[in-house]
Amino acid sequence: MLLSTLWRLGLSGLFSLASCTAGAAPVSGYAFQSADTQALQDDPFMNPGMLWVDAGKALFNTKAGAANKACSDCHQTLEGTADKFPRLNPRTGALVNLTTQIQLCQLDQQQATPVAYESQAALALTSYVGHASFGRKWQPVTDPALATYLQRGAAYFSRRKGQLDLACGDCHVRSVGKLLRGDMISEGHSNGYPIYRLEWQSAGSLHRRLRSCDIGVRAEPRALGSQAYIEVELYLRQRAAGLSNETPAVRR
Amino acid sequence: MRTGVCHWLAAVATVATGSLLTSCATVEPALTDRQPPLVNAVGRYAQGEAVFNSRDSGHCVLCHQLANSRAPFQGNIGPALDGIGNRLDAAQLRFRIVDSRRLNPASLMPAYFNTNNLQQVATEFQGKTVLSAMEIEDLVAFLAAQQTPEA
Repeated sequence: MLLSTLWRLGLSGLFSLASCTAGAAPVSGYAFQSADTQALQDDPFMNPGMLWVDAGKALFNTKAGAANKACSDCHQTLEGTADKFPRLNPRTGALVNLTTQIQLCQLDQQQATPVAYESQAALALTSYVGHASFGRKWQPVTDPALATYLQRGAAYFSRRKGQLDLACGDCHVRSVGKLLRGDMISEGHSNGYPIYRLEWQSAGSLHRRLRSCDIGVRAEPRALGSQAYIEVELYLRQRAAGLSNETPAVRR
Repeated sequence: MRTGVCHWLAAVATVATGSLLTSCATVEPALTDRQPPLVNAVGRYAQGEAVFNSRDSGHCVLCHQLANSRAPFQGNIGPALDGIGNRLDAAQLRFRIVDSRRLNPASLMPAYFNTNNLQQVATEFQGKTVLSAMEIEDLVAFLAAQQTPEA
């Protein structure tokens, strides 16, 4: 108890200082977890998120749909794939994230019914492809075609909303290292999704987490897989540039 | 880096202004610092304590600390409220609970009795205040009683 309090005070001081320095390197949510939670993430045999990665591998290699094709029939090398999302789909020009791209592939290439967002299959496939880029450093978003979406995502992040009239940045920029009851507020980075969240007892997507935050400030949440949330996802990717992919991260 | 220092200085200035507003007893508070009662009823201490602690009500301990509150894991985003009754009278407490951003627009504290100028409010909360007028009177009674002898 004493150790945990000391640890929190130390971390609080550290991040209060860090959050005051413009342009400081981003700090992963990993640093805000207890040692037990960090250990759970670090050991691939204990990390519960690996169950979704393994299930995703099986799905990825299974033929499906009227076209009777497996994802692996087209995609042999997956390292670096997750780094490219969100991006504009080359054929439709629509902004997609990894999960909505998987849905498009299922519809167009496999001629199958796409997995529902946040379904076990969607989380599994996204976790598998995400984990294939584990450890790779996120790069800044440079595609000029994404600039408008990036700005819209940034605006969503910084706009106060809901009955409690709070912006994402009110907590995840201005209050980093402070305590909301027992929970220390992190910088709100997205570099480990899908994550295994102990509170959920499940893997979950970034969009599920965004909905939780919006509901927390009593704002009307956006839909899973919505354009609004993919724009926020794009901004969060830019904001976390320099952090490494931790998929599947474990959080409290 | 220069911007960072500016932010830091701004943060210090905000904190300094905040503590001046709340702890300098010799300064005559401005008229705009006070809010008359929202309802013609006497606030109740015990109900106010429930508003302070309950997750389904004000849940002030989410961000504030108070030694007299028995709630575990108190937050520290806002200032500690021990002895707040020495520093602010009922009308001043009520003013801050109703909408603290009238004093400091950069404050993180939500307005607990306001329905104006809000965006993207969830359907179930549209047109509603976070607390009722009576809950605010109860909370004011609880906070006004938080007095420490040394303060």
